[in-house]
Amino acid sequence: MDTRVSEQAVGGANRRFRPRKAPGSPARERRTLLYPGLVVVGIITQVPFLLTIYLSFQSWTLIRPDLGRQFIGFGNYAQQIFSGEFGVILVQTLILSFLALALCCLVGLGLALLLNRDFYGKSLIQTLLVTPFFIMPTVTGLIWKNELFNPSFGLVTYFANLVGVNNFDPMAHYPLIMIATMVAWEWEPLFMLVLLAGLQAISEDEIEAAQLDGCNRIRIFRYIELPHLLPYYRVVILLGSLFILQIFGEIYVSTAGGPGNSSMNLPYLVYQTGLVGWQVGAASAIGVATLIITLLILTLLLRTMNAVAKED
Amino acid sequence: MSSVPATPKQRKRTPWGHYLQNIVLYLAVIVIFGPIFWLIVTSFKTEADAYAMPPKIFFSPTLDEYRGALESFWAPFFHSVFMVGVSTILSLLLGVPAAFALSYYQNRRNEGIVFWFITTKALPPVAVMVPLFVIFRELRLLDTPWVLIIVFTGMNTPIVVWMMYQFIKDLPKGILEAAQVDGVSLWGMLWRIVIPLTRAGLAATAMLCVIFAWNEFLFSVSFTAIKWEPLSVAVAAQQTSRGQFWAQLSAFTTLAIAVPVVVGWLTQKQLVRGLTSGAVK
Repeated sequence: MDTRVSEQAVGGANRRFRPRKAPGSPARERRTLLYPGLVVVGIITQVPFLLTIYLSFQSWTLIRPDLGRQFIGFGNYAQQIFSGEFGVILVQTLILSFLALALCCLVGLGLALLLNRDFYGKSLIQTLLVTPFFIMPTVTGLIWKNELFNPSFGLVTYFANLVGVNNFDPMAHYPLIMIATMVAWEWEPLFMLVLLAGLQAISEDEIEAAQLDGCNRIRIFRYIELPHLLPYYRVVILLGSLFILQIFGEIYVSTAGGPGNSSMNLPYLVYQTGLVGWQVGAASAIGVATLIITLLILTLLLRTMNAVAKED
Repeated sequence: MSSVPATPKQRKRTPWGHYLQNIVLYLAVIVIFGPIFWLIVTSFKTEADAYAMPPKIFFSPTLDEYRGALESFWAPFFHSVFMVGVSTILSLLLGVPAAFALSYYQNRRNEGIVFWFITTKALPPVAVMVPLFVIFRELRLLDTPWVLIIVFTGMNTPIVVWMMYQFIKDLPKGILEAAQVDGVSLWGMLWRIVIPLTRAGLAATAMLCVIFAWNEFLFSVSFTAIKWEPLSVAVAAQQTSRGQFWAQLSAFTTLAIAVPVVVGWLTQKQLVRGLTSGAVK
């Protein structure tokens, strides 16, 4: 607080002694530039969130205005969170996100290592491999559902039939795994690009020295490249899990959470409860729970990765 | 970001390994780009060819399905262009000055504020969706362009702040100090020095906003209906209404992804730099 006061004092002093046209004090300039963005983002993100907390304690169903809106304390939480359905969907969310993240980490690393060389047509290949990142989630769901895995006319179905697999319909039988592959397909480019940037930042001298010392490719990877990549992994895993935990469009288009609830995740449950079932209070409670779980997962991830980084 | 050339020695020693790695990469391209390629190929087929089993690789391409697809394409396309365009401009107007303030002026709270902007991205959209719906419903803003413009602006401004903060910090310190000594005004500094010098980064930031807003689905499907649906919602709606017409659906989808894909191709390198540079150091 002290610095702020003194800054204001200085600003006031400046204003007194400077000609009128001179710019304001640095502190004031900083505020003029910063506050519009700060206030707008604050209003759009924080205010609705506080309202979510408020609504989560209310019983309010939009299509039953006759019931009105009542304060019911932790009623929504008791009903929604401790129901069996929520637990199952939470586990599904975790499985889905973990599978997709693991696939992204592995495929992204593989592709980054393959791209970190000099060869003909490199930039074209890299561009083609990055493309899925720019595709709409709804389109991804559509490609998977119609063109690749349609049980009668899909492209992959055709090859599956060729090798003798009958009744090939993974979208119905393994919906969670299929959605994880969709998500991994979309987010692998980010992992690839970030890890590639990490590999390219390693100095050539270091690798050459290791080669002179008789290190083979595997040892170079284990003792030079992998430790160097850890901070890059940290960034990309945090960034990726933020988005992967929020998957919605892919599920909406491809399976709509089904069959039953078997491919639903928490965001889809909120949508289903709030904007299909119109239970505003219940949906808000699940939304708050989703936020808490997301923050827990991110903290856990960060701690684990810091521990791994220290060990190395 | 320049590529590290393999030393000639290394290549001579393992020519087979080199070609083997190339083959693996070609296979990866087939698996990863294949689905998009197949989507585009299908869009040039007739409906009969699209359903042919075994899948047809050789066929006489036709633009017929694009004619049908374009009829329902223009309206949602203009909705998307308008809402994404306005929200991106607003995000830049709010975010760039904020990023400049945070990286140029000394203040011990700056780091914390940048971090706060990032944490707003950790807030799951579903945690704010329900009250936003209720508020917009009360204000009778549902199914108007303003809803999504507001949401996209709130969603993208933190990304602008984060990325531009990195890019402006990477500028040589002396330039801004010299300008200040020369008495260049604040807006002059922003307009004539910061923006021209971070051009490439600014373009990448804007493009990332365009891609995120263009592809957004949860808020779009919740807050708009027929009058102002953007393309991402239109694609999902088309699937219900025209699910049986694959060729036409593919043509529609190809048109819908064209903008973000081209924009993405143009800016992929800057994009990674902006997202990671500060976080990795």
